[in-house]
Amino acid sequence: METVHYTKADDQVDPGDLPDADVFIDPAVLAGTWINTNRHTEGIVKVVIALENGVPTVQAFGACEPEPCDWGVVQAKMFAENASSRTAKTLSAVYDFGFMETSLQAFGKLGVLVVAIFTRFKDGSGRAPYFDREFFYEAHTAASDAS
Amino acid sequence: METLPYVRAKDRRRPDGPLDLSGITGTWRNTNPNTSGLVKVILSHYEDGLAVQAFGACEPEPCEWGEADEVVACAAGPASRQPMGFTAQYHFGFMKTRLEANLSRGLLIIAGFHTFLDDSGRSDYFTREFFRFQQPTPTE
Repeated sequence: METVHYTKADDQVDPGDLPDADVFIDPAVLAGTWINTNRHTEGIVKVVIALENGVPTVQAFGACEPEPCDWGVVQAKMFAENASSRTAKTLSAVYDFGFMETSLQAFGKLGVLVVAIFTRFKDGSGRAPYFDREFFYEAHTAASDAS
Repeated sequence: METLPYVRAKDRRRPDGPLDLSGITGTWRNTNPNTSGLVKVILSHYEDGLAVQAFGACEPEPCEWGEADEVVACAAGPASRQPMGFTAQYHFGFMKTRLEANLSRGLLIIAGFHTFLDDSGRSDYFTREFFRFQQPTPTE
């Protein structure tokens, strides 16, 4: 009998409860253009989550002057609710700028995209690694509010 | 004056001293006594920085995960000395887990990204659990 390895009870899944291998975690629930609810943020202004050839991607824009800094597009990874699920729960993406590395963790809650951001500096500048959390609303909701 | 590279405005600052880890070290216990995830986490301060020990919910005793790799203690901002959380990695062979933790209103919130590396068919999944501070660790 095959032994299923685990490090906690969450990892233990009965063979009959394993997810369908042909079904992939669908990031569509998080896809869209998300705008920071804080108009004066010094962090991330906007996040675009999309699907490219079935692969989820993230494009973030940092608060810069005179225009936001386009961080570019990176592939993201989707995580399910649990080990036996294919329902998307959260998305994870990493940006490596050379002088700095930033990981983003995004999940939806009550119509808001919550993004946890972990940043560490690799340039010896003395800046502390730090955590931040920002909140975003979907751009189409702004358009409907104005109508 | 040295110009710091940045891709967002808040990264243009630096602190005037090291991170003070005394505000985060100790034992943090899951607020859910019936959790099937992490039971507790012990954070310790060593000369090289922060050490993380996690314990998973197993029977009859919790599974001791040992000390995490690649631990990074995080501040509240690039110019802050106040600890705000950490990131850490575990490599179990059949699975790897990344922990991302942050303090919020006296609780330690730990997000777990669990990726299976075996052919068990299990989905990579996400967890988010809440921990309360239990006791400080003895000073070595």
